Amino acid sequence: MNPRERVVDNPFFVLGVARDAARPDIERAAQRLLAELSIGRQSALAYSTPLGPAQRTEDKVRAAAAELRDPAKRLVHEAWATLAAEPTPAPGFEPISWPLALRLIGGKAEG
Amino acid sequence: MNQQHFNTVFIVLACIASSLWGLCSFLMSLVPQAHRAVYPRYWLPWRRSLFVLLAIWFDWLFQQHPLLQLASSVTALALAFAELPIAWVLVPAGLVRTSYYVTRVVGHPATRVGAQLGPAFRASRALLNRPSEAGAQFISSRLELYADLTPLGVAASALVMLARGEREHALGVLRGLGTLPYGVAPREVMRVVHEILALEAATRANWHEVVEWAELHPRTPLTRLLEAIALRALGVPGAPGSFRLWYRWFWAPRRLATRALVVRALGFQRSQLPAPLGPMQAQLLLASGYPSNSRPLEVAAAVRGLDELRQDPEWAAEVERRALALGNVSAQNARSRILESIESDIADVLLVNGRPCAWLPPGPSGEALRERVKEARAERADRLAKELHRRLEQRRDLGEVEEWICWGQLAQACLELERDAVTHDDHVSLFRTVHRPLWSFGYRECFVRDRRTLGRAIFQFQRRLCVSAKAFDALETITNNAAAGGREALPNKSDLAGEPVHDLVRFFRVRRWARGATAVVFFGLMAFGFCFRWLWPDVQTAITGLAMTSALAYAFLVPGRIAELIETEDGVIVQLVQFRHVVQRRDVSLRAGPWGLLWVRLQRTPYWMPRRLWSVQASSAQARATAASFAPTVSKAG
Repeated sequence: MNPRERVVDNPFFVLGVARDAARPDIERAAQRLLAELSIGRQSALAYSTPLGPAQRTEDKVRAAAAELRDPAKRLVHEAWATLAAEPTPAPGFEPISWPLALRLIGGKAEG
Repeated sequence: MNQQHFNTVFIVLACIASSLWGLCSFLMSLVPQAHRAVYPRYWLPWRRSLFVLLAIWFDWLFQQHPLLQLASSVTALALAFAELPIAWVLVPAGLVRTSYYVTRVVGHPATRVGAQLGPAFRASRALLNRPSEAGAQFISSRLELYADLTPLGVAASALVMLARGEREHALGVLRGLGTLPYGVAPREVMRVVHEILALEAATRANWHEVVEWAELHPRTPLTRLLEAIALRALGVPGAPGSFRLWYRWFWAPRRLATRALVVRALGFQRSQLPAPLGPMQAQLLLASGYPSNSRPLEVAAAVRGLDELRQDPEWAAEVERRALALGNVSAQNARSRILESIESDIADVLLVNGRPCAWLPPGPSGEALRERVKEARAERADRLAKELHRRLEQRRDLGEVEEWICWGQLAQACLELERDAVTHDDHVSLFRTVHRPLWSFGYRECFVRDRRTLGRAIFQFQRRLCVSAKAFDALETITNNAAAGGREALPNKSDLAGEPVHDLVRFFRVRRWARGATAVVFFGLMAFGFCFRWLWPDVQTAITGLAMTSALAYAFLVPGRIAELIETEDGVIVQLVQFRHVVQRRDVSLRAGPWGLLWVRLQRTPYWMPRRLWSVQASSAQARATAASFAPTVSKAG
């Protein structure tokens, strides 16, 4: 799991529950989201994370619920779930995109 | 000057040029080493002068037809100095075949006449401008003819891969080429290699690496521009100001595309990290820039944050409280797992971006990360080296481009380790890890498979590691290997290991007799041709003399095409007067001829090696038997 996935795929963000939520609340949230996703409800398709919105899928919801059933794993995820606020945008100089790089050497971006 | 006089002057000049060419061939054939491959540039002025002569002739010939005069003279001059139209018109227009054939006609400064690698390289640059599978196939079919692709061919393969969208493979090859020392590969190749590698580093926002590539010679306007932008992005004191940046932009290609980049670089202010930055917030900042936009500043903040977290009693108490609330959970284990996940994330950022980690801030986390990253890199280098060694022991050879990719990966792993090598032990450890596989790899590529460029690159890299590790006992041999790899062919030694498939004594006797006879006849008839020219000064006679001269010049080269074949377990050794080359049986096609002659056709030969050869057997029956023994593995291209 890379650093970005660790934040974006955090089970608390995926399920949209507080980090001190009780186990039944977590299960209910997972069931509700699975039901909403099965009927394709728009509001269930995305969730917010400290790194911006991400797409929610049934697999993600199931995996998140399974992770939070294990107290040891939940404790680790809780540490990352404290990152509720949007971070300051990265102040670095934006890298060159690969299509531009390819163009500069006389090429065209691959399809 | 009337037409007859002009024709006379022209033909005499052409005869002189042809004679010089023949003389050069003769002198070069006396040299025991393959100098015509090392110093091939004398062909180019000869061709150039021929086209200039043609331009003058056309100019005089079509005096009555101004349009024809202009068109023919301009065409001849364009062919004489074809680099400009190729670079400015054909390559940007993406005309693959035209670039290829024009370069073949006018010659390439880095390859001898008839070689297809220089033209293929230019065609591959054109292909990048207008990618098409047909064009890629066209270039690949040319490259497949050569066993030793040389940097030109290898770079052409990489550009074809890039045009096909195989980015990682192409970059692997280019990284391998990037290890070549200055002067080994043609400038044209190294310019492209440095440009692409600097741009690739810029796509990862690894500005330090951009500067490293841009500082290597030969530098180009594009690498100079990238260097200036990288220095601005790094906020280094003394980074180029707006005037120097715009100046470099002006000389760089694709100004419209790079203008926005320059404006962005000029407006960029290196901002400080938001303060106060909590430990977890620093991790979040690192994750937000993952994978390519994480600056060293953020990595350092994340490392310091990890240190703070280790020593933060409040955070430990909070974890303890939550562990109690959740039931049967060990708070100590949970803390360790959280710290481990943070450490793993920071290491991931360093490994993915190929950043050095010697500069990480001091402290327990910095030390742990240094060790962790070093171990991961050493493990990768060790894995690659072992894989290489295993493959070499089993003699499982790959194609040349694949070998360059393997070499590029191993070299990259070694370079990353070398950047973090602080103590002498680090250098020794790196050298011990890769020394044996590199030795076997370089030896096999250089002396068995005759891929001198790759072998030489490996030996020189190995020499550098050897000097850093102060392993002076191995230095002399490695230096000798590197020097031997620098030659284009081995000396004409007689101690060939293997089973000869024809009579060696007869081979040398035939060769010497033929060489002596052709030399005498060639120079005799050269003089005879000039006498003809003075005695009967008509154009037809002179042209006949020219044709005879050319035919004899070709005949002079014929003895150089008689080869001795020796079968060994590494393949079939093809021994010529000056060259020795090992080919695989599947790449040799034999056909029996009269009087014990064997027609030999080679596939995938080095660019300096003739492909159509003859060999002499003791009898016709033996020739037929030898040809039959090769028959099951005869390639289609016979």
